[in-house]
Order: sequence, then structure tokens, then C-alpha cells
Amino acid sequence: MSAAPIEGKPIDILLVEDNEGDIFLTRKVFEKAQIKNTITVAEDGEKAIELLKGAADRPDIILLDINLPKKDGKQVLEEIKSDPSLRAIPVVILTSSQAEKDILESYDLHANSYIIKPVTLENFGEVAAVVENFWFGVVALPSHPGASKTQDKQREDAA
Amino acid sequence: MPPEIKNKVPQENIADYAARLETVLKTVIDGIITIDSRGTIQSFNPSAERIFGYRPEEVIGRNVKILMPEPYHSEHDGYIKNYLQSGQGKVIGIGREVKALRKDGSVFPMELGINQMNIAGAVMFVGTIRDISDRKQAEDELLRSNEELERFAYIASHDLQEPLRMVANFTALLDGEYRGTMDAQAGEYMDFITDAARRMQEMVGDLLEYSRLGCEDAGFSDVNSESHTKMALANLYDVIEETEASVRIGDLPVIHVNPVRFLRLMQNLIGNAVKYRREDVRPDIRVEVEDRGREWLFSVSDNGIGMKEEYLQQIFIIFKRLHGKKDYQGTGIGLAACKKIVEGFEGKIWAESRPGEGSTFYFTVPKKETARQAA
Repeated sequence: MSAAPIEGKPIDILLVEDNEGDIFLTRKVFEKAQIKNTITVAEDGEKAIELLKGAADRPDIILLDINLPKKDGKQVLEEIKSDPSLRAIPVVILTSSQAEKDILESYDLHANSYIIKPVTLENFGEVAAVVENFWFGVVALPSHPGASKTQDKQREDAA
Repeated sequence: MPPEIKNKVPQENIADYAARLETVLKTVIDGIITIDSRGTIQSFNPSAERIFGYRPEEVIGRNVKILMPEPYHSEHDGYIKNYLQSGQGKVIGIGREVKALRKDGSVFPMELGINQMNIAGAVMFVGTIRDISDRKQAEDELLRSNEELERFAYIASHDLQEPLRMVANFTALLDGEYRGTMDAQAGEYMDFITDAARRMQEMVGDLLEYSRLGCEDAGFSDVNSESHTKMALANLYDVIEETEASVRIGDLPVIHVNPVRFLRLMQNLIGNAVKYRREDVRPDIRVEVEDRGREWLFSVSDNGIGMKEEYLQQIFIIFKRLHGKKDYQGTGIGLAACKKIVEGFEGKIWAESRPGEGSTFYFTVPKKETARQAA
């Protein structure tokens, strides 16, 4: 297990979501699944970017809705993935859109995974547990997300 | 070819006969034009005048191709020659929709019928013309409004999912956290809400999927219909195993369709055949195909419960169900989706059935040149 958060430390989640019901449900579901977490909410795309660029602590994972006020989810995703200090943070698209177009575009913009909001609370709970287990139990993440900065700099210089 | 006109009309009646014929030609709504074997216009009735905007004297004696836009204009001499040599015409005796050219240069759709007449040893052709601009326009409008309706259904069902998900989820929370403090009646109300929300989620989900069959562009490719039918069987493995159904698949051809939709079609039809089985009879299902020249005729037949003839049309209507929810689950979208898929392939779907004996679902897929045949 080489997951980023230290054992026992709560997972730091940035939830980018404008629907109050969904915000409530997401908190509820993580709490019910007994996943130690702190959820920070950004209710629109601009706020999400502000929070990400301003914060000293990067979140461990970003749950990103697509339909958002101001900057939409895809714009937010694009900005995250083009910022060397942010791009290593897993971004999970969490949306109700099943449209092929949205799925394709999200992966084109380097989303780490795309999840269609489960319709029942039960399924949502399962999804939360799977997300937690996968990203913080299975996957290896860099301990310093900004580490790819130098490589990126070189690439930019070369271009 | 029609027989030559041999019947002798008594001389004294000929004048009367010709006069009556002329009255018919003058009053008939369709345009009627006669030409000789070189394509030269011999007669042009008042309806033709109205349709094309030419006076008879402007066109009689001229070649009929002046009434045709390209490419017919250039090819018409060839058509006549070809017909006279081979006896095989593209329009003669069949009739078809073609484009025609008015005097003012405008092009319009018309329905054209041509028949051959042999008069005193000379070959003549009679063309009957009906201007179908209005019908075409109505058809286009219908198509547009159908497309709009589909877009509406897509958007509505998509956007309805959001609030519905909230209703369902918060009902589940309420139920989970407060069930203990509710009295029996409140609990019963909760059950009704939960059940209704679940059903509506099913329907909205199905509606969304159904409308996507019309909205999203589906690519066509050469599809081995036999292997795709077997894939459908694999997807139905559980239910086939459980019911010990026997499914026999004939030799099926390569067809030009959208593979995902064809799979879905087969899965729905075979799934239905298993679902509507007779309780005491092991399901016996056959998938076969018949070569009908221009198209393939697929059939999926079963030995299930069947249905009365009066329902054979209704079953293809969205959300139409013949049975209560207790007996058979589902929203009633399966066959509506099948119809939409088949129509997307430019085919037709229908069913034949005998109550208590079984049903057969037929659908056609037009033959298009598959890449293999073209090679």
C-alpha cells in the first residue's frame, strides 16, 4: 500500500458540486461507508480553481460534476490537468450525464475516471467505498503531487 | 407488355368515343402526356399545363426531356432506347417518384407512371404525372416534428432524472433513519413513495435510452448477425439457464447494420421469448432467416404464452404492457425499442401469434452491399 494519505489520516476530498442535495448525499454516503474524510465543497467551477490554486494543502482527490455554474466541469478539468502542480491529483468525474460525448470529452481532458451518479443511495454507498478503496488502497500516487513540474518545464522550454 | 389494342370499335361510335376520351383527359386531375418512341411530345392535357406551366403548343412536337432536370434530361434518350431494345424499363409499368422541371425553372417532386400503347403499329408512351410537392412537404414537416419530439423526450428524460434521484435518495434516507419512529400508516405511505419513485426512475431511464436510439448517430458496419445473436444469448445466459430454454440459431448472414443496436434487438426479442414462456413448457426458441431477394427476413419464434391478434400492433407502443406488473416485470419499452432499431435499419417489424401456442416476431433488414460482397 503506497497510497498518498498517511494511514489513519482522513482523506481530503474536494467536491465540486452545485446541487445542495448532492452535497448532502455525498457527505452522508462517505460518512455511512465509514470513510474518514474531510469534504471541502466548491459550488462552482471558478471557486474550485480558486481553492485549488490558493490552498497550501492539495486535496487527495477531486470529485467533479460536469454541469456547474460559471466554469463548467470540463473547463475545471482542463485547468487542473494543464497545471503541473495539480495534474497528479486524481479527478473523478461524478455526474448524471450518460452522454457518450461527455464521457469521451472528459477522458480526452485526462479525467482519471468517469462515474455516473448512482440512482439509489445503496449504490452510491458502494461507489464511494470502491472509489476510496481504489484510490487509497490500490493505486500508487506521488507523495508530492507537484513533482512533475520540472519535466513539464523542460517540455515547455523545448517547445 | 400489354396486348395490342385489337378490339374493333364500330365506326359510328369512334367519334363519340374520342370525344369522351378527350373530356376525360381534360378533366382528370393528373397531368397526362403522350410521347412517341423518339420522345417527342404528342399531347399535353390541361392538368399537365397547370403542373408544368407550359401551353400545349409550346411543348407539343418538342422532346419530353425539356420537362426534366438533370440527370434525367441528358439520360432520357438512353432510357427509351434501352427500353425499346430490352423491354426492361425503370419506370414503365412500375411507377416511381422523380423530379420534374417547370417552365419557370423550378424543380418539383412528382409521381410518374408510364404505360406503353401500340397504336397502328407505332409505339407510344402515356405518362401520368402527379405533383406531390405538398405531400413531400408534409412528410418533411412530419419528420422534423418527430425529430423535435425525440429531442424533447431526450432532454426531458435527462433533466427529470436529477430531481427524481433526489426524491428517491432522500426517501431512502428518511426510510432508513426514521422508519423506527413512524407508525404503521406512515410506513405504508413511505412504501408507496419509494415504489413510485423507483418505477418512475425505471421509466425515465428507459425513456432516455429509447430517445437516444433516435438522437445519437449510429454507425453502420458489416455485422455477422449469427455471432451477434450468439452474443445476445451469452448476455441472456442466466435466464436461459434458469428456464432451461432451448435456443436454436440457423445460419445467419452478414448484414449492414449498427452492431450495438442489432445486438440489443436480438437480446430484446430472445429475452421476450423466454420471458413470456408457458409455465409448464420448456421454452423452445428459433432464430431463422429467409432470403427475400432485396432483404433478409429474420424471425424469432417461441412456444410461449402467445397473445390475441388484437394486441399484435399495440405491443410495439412505448410503455404499453399487456400484463400486470406482478406477473411480468418491466416498463414496456423493449418492443418499442426493437421497432425503433429496425426502422433505423430501414426495415419493418411485426408479430404473428396464437394464444397459448407461441409467437413469432419478424423483422426485415434491407440488403445493402456489404464490404465483402463489394470486394
